[in-house]
Amino acid sequence: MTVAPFLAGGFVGALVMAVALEGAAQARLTRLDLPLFLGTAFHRGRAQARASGYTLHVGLGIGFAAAYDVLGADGWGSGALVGIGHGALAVTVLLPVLVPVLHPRMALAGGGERALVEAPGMLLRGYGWWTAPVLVALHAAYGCLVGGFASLSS
Amino acid sequence: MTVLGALAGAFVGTLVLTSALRLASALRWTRIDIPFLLGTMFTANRTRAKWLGYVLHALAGLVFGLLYAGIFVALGRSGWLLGALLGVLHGLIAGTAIVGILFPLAHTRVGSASSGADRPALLEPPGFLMLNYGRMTPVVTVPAHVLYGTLVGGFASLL
Repeated sequence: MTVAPFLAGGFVGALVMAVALEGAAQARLTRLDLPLFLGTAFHRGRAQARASGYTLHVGLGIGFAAAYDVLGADGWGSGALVGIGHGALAVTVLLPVLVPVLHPRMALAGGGERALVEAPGMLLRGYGWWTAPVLVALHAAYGCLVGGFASLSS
Repeated sequence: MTVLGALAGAFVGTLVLTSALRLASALRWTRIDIPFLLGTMFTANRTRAKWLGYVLHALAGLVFGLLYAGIFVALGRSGWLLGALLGVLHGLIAGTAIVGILFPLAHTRVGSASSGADRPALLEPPGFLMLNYGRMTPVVTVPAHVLYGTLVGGFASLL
């Protein structure tokens, strides 16, 4: 099996995740606008930031899918399990710890003057209590699609 | 399964999608006119915007057909059902990322959730799932894109 079905699953999974996350924000489950959150690291303008953040998110979705291939998550169930781990990593380390270190426009102590987005805080509580469960569930769906696409091609 | 088949399906699918949206508009189910929205990215003249948007929508349909084909090639399979499932996602993306992220970036004549009132907007911002153009809008646009996807997947598997 080649990596191509994993990457295709990563592309579709990232798009599904983006749509569902926007739906969750509309349903007031979370205030996280992931394209804006990521994109303001590169642009001050909101329109440019959201576009670049969305592109980065889809690019990361394709890139992470290669790791699913390395881990051998080539089924719907195994993909979902790896997705839960991926989501747990995202809500505990990637978004609340790594991104604030790299993000130049986040509202951290001493940096509020130029801030455009709120600091996520532990388990992303800065964006609402439901943010972490929603993100873990969406990563599980993403993993399910990556693994599922891999199983479809075999 | 061929890429050419997917492109043929995309061509037919775009015609069906555009016609379905026009029909829904004529029946007053929705006020959305996607080709018109696309056309007004380039001209403020409403008549020119309509035909230009129709051409752009047809071209965009072919580009999306290539994306569908890429997924079919990666999976080594295609079909009506797979195309229809991708069509659901396509319809949702049209109502979220395209109107919510691409338009505020590239469209100077449509408002956005974060734009001010310092310039006259020609068009209303579509909003989440284009609901600002009527509550029935996603009920029309998503199934219309499912039709498109079904045709792309079907043609790809047949030709």
